[in-house]
Amino acid sequence: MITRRLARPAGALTSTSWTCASCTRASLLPQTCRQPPSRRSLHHVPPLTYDESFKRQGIPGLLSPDGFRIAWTDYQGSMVQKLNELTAGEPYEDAHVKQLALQFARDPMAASLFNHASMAHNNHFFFNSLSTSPLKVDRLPTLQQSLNNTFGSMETLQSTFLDTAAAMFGPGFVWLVWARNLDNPAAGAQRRGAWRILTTYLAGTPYPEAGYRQQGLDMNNNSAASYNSYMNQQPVNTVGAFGSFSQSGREQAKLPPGGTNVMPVLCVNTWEHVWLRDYGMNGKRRFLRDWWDCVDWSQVESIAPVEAKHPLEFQRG
Amino acid sequence: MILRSLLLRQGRFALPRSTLIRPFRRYLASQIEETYTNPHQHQQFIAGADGDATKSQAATSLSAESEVLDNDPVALNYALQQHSKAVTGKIGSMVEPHYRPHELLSNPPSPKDITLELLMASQSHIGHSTSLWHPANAKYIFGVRGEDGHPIHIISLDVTAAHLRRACKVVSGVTERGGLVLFVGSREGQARCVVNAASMSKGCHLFTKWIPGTITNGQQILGKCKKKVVNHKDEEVKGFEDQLIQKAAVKPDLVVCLNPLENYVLLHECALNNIPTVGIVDTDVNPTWITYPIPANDDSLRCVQLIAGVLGRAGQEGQAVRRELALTGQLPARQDHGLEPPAEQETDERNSRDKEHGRNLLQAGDV
Repeated sequence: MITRRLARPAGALTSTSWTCASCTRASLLPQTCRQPPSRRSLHHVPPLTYDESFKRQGIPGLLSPDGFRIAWTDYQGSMVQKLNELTAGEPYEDAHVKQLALQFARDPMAASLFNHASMAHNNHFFFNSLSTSPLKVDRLPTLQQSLNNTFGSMETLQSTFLDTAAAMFGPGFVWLVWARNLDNPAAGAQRRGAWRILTTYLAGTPYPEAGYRQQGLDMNNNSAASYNSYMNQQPVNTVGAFGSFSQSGREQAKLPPGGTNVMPVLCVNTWEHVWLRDYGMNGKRRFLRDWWDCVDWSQVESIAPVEAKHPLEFQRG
Repeated sequence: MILRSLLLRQGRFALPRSTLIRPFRRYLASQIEETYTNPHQHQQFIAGADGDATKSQAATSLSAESEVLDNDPVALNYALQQHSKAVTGKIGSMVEPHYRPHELLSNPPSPKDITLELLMASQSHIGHSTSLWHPANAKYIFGVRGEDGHPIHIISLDVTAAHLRRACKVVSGVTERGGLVLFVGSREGQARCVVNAASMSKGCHLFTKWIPGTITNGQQILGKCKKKVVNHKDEEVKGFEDQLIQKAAVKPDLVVCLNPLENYVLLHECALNNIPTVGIVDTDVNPTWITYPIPANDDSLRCVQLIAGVLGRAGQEGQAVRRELALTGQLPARQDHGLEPPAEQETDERNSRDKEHGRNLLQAGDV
């Protein structure tokens, strides 16, 4: 019969003051090891294509298995764990990491969330460009030609890139990005653009949507004037600085809706915990050189936008 | 009430009615036999149930660039934006598959995905207060839960699953044979799922009040609605306009009602006209009103959208089978429409007259 009440009355669930004689001692002891509330965490360490191989023998030519464990497994795990803690119960707990970084770049109260999201994103981006059998760039002629159009030669690109990374004091990332020209192209022509090298200190992000937190300059040895000239847009007189007729407004208007003018394709992680174990305290330059030889350019080629692989004549961005 | 025009669905030529060859299960199976992965199994919330979820992202197969017009800047911008989102949007962590409400509408589950866990996650087991129940529902009820003051009935999920699967078979069977399914859901928030289900099953939908008499007094209420004749490929066939003027509006072959309590008039009219009904029967609903009841919670929008989505998918599968059969020449549709095929000379005369005078057909009126 369905209408019969359950055999378990509600009163059995409430605690009473009476305890039986055999469990008096145990029940009166304070609950020290309480089981953590079972809650499912939404963020997990993402799988890499080659992480099984990396775990066993490290990244050939770059990191040992221990070094890989520190740089990826442990570090990404701690980033993801912190993300879970910071987003638990919030409406954005199921948002992807990049979306979190872009959303909270402008919010100084959520700086910790931005930092961890941006670091998780950048670290994963870095490890995606590594593989067990990297393809050299000279096997990809269109990409190489496109890079040569901006930098002149691959050697120039390498030296510029690695010198920039070595010159950065303190941890950060160095990015190779495709920067689109904001002027609308002539009818029938491809939108022009060029490759650029971008630095982001600490947990900065290369995406212009989170431009507030690009952290491209070491502010410890920069003044407001040098910062302004770096940003290249702030006039002294703020009249006409905003709005649809200002320079920034006109540049903004040139962006296609939902579009971006910067697309990162490659990055190097210069945080010390990545290379300290395998290269020592003075090993940053050696690490950068080894890393350049280990870059899987096929991955770069698949990330690069189509317009970056149809090289036009030589142009500087 | 806005009722989309009811369409005649009879074929143009009258083939001798052949015995319907019931297709085998593998009739439409593709060459490659794939193991079926339930896309909604993340709602099962059982540890280890989808243990391979972590590896599903391991294959980073970056999609090839789609063919884009070379000279359209807007298309190129859009292509770049889509590429950028696809390549960099998910980098950083792997987010566990989770319930996203819009997916019930954008990608509803199919009858294969009905599990007890999915039904429980959609709150379909929650019935009404025990004082409000209809005793005829006793066989659908699992038990009573709740505090002393406000106990509620809990609906048996295995019973729900069985009845829902049966209803899916009914809907797909009707659509396989060229029947017209009407989806009705007049509560707030049910409009989208009703329209979705109807469009998947190529049937009709209603999300506002049912005008009493639409079936029993159809020649009055639906007298001015537009009718058309379609062939076995669902292409419109001209030449029947004169005959269609006298024809009454077609009645649905199956009615799916998501809130029977408010639509008892509709269900009564269906019963008077021998139209079978499928409906969500909560613990306070009279189950005798409905031919194929689905015991479930009609107050939870998630449950209603789930059931409507599943039934819509069942209708879609039936339509796919019907289309396959029609293309190979087997026509399961009934041929008792009573229409005469128009003569060839009359067709030519009519076409020339149409061009001269520009005659318009009767248009559907908003009733």
